[in-house]
Amino acid sequence: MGHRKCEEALGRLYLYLDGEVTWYRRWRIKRHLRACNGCGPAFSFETKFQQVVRERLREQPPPEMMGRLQQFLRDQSEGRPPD
Amino acid sequence: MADQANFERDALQFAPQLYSAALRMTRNPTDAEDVLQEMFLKAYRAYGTFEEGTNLRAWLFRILTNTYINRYRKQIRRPAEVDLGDVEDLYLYRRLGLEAARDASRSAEEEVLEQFVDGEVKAAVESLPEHFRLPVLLADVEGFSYKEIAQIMGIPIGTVMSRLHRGRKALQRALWEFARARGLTAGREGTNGPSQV
Repeated sequence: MGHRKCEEALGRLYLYLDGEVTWYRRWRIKRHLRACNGCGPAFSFETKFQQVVRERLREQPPPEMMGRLQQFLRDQSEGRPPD
Repeated sequence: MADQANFERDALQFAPQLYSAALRMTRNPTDAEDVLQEMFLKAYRAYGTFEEGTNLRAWLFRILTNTYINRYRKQIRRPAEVDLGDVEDLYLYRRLGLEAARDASRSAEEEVLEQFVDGEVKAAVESLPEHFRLPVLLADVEGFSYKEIAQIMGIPIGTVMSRLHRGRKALQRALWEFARARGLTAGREGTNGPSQV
């Protein structure tokens, strides 16, 4: 059911998830996702997938490295001619 | 124009995300630190030309990307053709059999996704060729818009979109291969998965 609406939604899966559709399109797709038990779960999977990717790829820098970087920047600015 | 004296105060807060991105680009901590340091030096020197009130984070990522590309130009091969002919949209979702099981509990999908450990997701991203890896990192990890990515990478928006689309497919396929190698997919071959022999 609602095949054309499924196409409208699935064809813009990433545009929608990336926030790159107009507010009107966003509203239409959102409404369809609530009603469609084919597209709704698919979109929710992709959303979760992106979250998992983001979480897994974020990495905290080692504190020693941050210390070295900060020192490096201080050394640069101290070498700066006075105003 | 920004005051160079404020550079540390303004820019250092972005160092953790820049480091994280540098690590995924270079694939090792020593090179990531070298790239980051060179990037910060360039940014510090150019800070006088940064227009205050515009997007500092995107400006810094642009310098990071350029630094990385210039430094590793020799190693970065020309975009190799990646065959994605058989990779459809919703690749993982379908392969994992979630499409067929969509009436089952919602937590099924979370359960499957949680099984991908840090190392696998990192290795999958690092396996992507540069022209896919950078847009995927900038969009999916850093949350930049298509327009910002186009500016950071110096390529047209249409190119960002197609590389991102293909890069995401390649990422899902790489993760599927990991899952299969670990036997996570037992009994999960979706309706669109390889046909049973």
